[in-house]
Amino acid sequence: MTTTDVLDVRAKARRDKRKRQSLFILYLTLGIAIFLGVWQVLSVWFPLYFPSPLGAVRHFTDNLMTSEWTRRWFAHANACPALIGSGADIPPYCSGYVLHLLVTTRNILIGAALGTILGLAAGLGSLVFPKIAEVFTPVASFFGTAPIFIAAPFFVIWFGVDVALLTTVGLITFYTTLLMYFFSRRAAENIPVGIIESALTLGGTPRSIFRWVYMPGTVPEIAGGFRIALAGAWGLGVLVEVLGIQRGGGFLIAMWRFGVGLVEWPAAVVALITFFGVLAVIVDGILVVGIRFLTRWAESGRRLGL
Amino acid sequence: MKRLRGAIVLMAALALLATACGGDTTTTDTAAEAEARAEAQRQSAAAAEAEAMAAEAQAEADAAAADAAAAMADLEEAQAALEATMAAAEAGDAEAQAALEAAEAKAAEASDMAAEAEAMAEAAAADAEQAQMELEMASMVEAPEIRAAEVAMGIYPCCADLAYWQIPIELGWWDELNITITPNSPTYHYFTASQEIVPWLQRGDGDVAQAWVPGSFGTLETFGQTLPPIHFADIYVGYAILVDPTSDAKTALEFMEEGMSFSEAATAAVQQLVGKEVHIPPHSTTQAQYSDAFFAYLPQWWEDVQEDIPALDGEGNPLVLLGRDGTPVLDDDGNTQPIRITTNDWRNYSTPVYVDDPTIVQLSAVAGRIEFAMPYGAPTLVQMMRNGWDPLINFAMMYEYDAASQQTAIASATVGGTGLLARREWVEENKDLTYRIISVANRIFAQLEDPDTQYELWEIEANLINEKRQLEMEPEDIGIIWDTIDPSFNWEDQEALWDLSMPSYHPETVFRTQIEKLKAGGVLSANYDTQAGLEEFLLAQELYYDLKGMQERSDDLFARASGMDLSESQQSLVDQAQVFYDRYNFYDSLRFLEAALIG
Amino acid sequence: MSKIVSFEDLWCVFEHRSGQLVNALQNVNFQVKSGEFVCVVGRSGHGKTTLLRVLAGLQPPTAGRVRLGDEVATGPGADRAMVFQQDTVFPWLHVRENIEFGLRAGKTPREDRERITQHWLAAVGLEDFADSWPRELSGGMRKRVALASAMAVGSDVVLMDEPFGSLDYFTRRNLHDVLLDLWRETQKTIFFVTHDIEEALILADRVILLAEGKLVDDIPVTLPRPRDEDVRASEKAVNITKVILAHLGITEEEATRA
Repeated sequence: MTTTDVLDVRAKARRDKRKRQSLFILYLTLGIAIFLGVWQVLSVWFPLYFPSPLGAVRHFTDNLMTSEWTRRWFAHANACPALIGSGADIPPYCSGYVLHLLVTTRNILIGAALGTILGLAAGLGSLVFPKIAEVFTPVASFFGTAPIFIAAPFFVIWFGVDVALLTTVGLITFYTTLLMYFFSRRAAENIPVGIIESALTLGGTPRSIFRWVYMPGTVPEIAGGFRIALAGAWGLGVLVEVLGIQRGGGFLIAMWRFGVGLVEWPAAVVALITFFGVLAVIVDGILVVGIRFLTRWAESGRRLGL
Repeated sequence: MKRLRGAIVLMAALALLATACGGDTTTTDTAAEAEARAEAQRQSAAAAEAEAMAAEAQAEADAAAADAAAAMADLEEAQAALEATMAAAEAGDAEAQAALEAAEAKAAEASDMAAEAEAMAEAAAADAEQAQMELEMASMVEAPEIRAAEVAMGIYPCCADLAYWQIPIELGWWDELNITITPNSPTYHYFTASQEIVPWLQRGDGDVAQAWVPGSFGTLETFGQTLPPIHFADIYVGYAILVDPTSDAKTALEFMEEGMSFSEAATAAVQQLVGKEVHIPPHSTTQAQYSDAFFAYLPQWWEDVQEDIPALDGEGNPLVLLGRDGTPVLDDDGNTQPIRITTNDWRNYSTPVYVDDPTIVQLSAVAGRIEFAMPYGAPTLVQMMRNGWDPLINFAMMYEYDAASQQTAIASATVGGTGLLARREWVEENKDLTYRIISVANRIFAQLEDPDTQYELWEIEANLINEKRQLEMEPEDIGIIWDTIDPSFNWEDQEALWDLSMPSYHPETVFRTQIEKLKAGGVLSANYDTQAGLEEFLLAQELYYDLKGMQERSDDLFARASGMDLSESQQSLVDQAQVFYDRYNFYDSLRFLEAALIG
Repeated sequence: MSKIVSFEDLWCVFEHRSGQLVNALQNVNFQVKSGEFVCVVGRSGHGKTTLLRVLAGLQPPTAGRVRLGDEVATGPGADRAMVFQQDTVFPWLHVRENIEFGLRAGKTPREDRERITQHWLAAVGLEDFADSWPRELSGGMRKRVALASAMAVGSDVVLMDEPFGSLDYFTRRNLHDVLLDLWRETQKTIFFVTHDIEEALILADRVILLAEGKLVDDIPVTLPRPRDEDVRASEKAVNITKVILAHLGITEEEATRA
């Protein structure tokens, strides 16, 4: 093969790569276009259940910072509970969707973060201190068998609907802890025993093995588990709010649930659900970037889309 | 003799015909009535044909009889001539002999003619008899058909006033009307949440379903008009703010025991709610704010009023405060006092915590978890009261102790009840089924009020609600609900419901106020035409008056039938009509009466 | 300070799943002087790896003991670094960090750590790949990383369990040279498990022959170094090979065919 041939081959490889990228963008655009098209068609046939995509966007932007609907109809400044009865003027943004959505996002992220910390601490800690596993595994297995979405209503009853921190954050923390415990245990168990033995014969102490073997070595599976946990946490957080929590996006959806037939109903519900869908995708996208950085050593991780 | 017999037969035929045609042929616009009328016309035509045949046969008989009479006269004349001739012959008169022979020949001829005429008369009489039989066959009456049909009905088994449609299913009343309730396999369609009802109907999955009527007002600008109520069941007066038994808060009755007037006691009781949380179901937001009536006892309520909402009667006049006797309450200057419905909102004083009724019950079961609650479902209310929760204040107290107050007027102007929502399109295509379904509702309410039957009906409701809502209601609890919390409108009460001239709860008036409140709250457009919208929406009113008219015509026909000599088949139909009538099925009652008496 | 490694009355008995007892090692006794290159040879399943794992402290003996000097070896430690047959390079650490691992665990000061690492990177010829991920290296290069890691930790004894078994011939030969250079340079005691007689002849000072868990022969390999093909084809080498084969129960024809 001459130098010219090699250059040709490389140029072709570059062209192929660009072509693949273009096709990816094309399919992505096509997918979004089909989705929006189906949505638009449905909005023509069933306008009372599917607003046009633009209608949903309009509702969202109209109600984001301040919402006449929530102010006059159902919310009554629930997004700013501290101001109720304080005698202070309640600022207009208290009625907007923004605070509700921020509250939900905050609760979900706090819950997921707490759960991840606890789950990892228990899961990875049990590698260093096996007693933790002896105590934690049976308990986690017992609660793990009950689908968390079934357990959600009980959290609402046990912890009440007023203290969202206990109920929403508590439930998400509980759920994420269980999930991350099992994921971290599994991730650790999946590290080849030869690697651990190698580390031991190189003078590895429990501490150094934890730091240099388990921690980085479990990242791909733990990161995958975290994505799954967070995806579930979005649904769970909103569900708990729908069940009775008095603030957040789930609360707005719960209230709009009773507005079936009102002119604004479909736009509101679709806008809120879409918001959480888009937010979940964005957060997941950020996660993917972070996880890619952390697992850049793992070729298989890239192939899996991590 | 035979002429006489023929005449009697004819007279009887005419008499029957006259009877058959003698009814008042009142017509109605319904298809069923048109069908009945056509049937009667067909029977009339058959009777007229038989009558014509009988008349023709009679004419033939008359002609034959006349011929026979003439022949007889000829015969008599011939016999007289023969006798005279014989007498002359005896005298040996040859001429007379010849005359005799001639007379004998004439007599024989006349005799032949007479025989022929008699044969003709007999044949004509036979024809007349045949015609009479045909006429009798034609006057036999047949029972109108009750067509077999399926009705897609969903049931929301939350509450006494929504679950009662289980009663006719279990008692087999639908079978009597040839109606099958669907879906029924593997079970009937039970809603698990109130917000499922309207979409289910709207999708066309269902034809009818009982629902909270004011809950539809928010949808009047979208599809509410396609799902009008065809019957009104009750008025719910069970609104109450309940208080946890472990709370230090006192009820209005407890304040009264300390010597306060009710008005003062109510104010003191409601004052305890200011700044507190009240647990209330989320659908309270789409309906009129019944809590407003309680909070209107707060002095600040009237200071904070931003805007009044028109509270008008059916003729557009302002609603005024009425005393117990129904006369207007006058102020110090002798003027009537308008009822003041305002845009003020109870949530400006207390914080609503929106949770479903079942969750309220669950939360209330944990001591101290919640302090105040306002469940909307009567079973929830009863269950909580049985668990020790007391009404801090309720509508019943206000009606009893403070009937002529502005607050009670607000309560009266904002109450509501359940009704059977139906797809308007379906109703237009199935008027017969619509009337029959309404009759079943009226039959249920009659039996719910009948001490001999009510327990069985309460039991059916309690079992269903307990099963579906995980409650522990006794049948008697259902009775308490119907008697005190949720009085129903039986057939006789329905008149007062719709006749604005009668002192009663009038949906048209009450709902107008609630729609105005929704307009003020931004749920409906500010320019929504309340009057036109309500007139279109309240299909139940039109159907009530349809049935009322049918009942009155049935009454007339029963009276007429009692003065008549009815055939067996007629009597049978009249008896069946009476059964329908007794079951409030005036539609089929009228159809059977018309079939029996008019044809 | 180099120590004599002594295997004393060493037994290792495993219970098979069926309940049958298997003597992986039976009364093994021998000593290895400091700086010796010992190859342990035997057929598969005859106790080579078990012997190495007991020495590494990864497998406790059923009876007997292993001493390093006067001390009985118990658990694993940096004084007996081991290179495994399978790929045990940490994939999440750069090449440099892999080599540093033992030093970090031993809390070697940073400056020393960097110096030592750099030295071993150079020693195995991977300076240019110091910041590469293991996945970017070939199998042979990863073995060099493992070798460098074991060497860098500063142990007197290095254990190698068929480390080049999965590599192609040329790579393996290349690594033999690298290993011998390192051994000569460091004078560490090396235990090298192999079933490849030629490999043993190239590397070993002694060949310990194991059969059914028993030490059946201890053969000094006094061939001159470097042991090129001529040396390996010498009569002496052939005789050693014959002895080994005889112990292993393999005829010359079989060996030739193999």
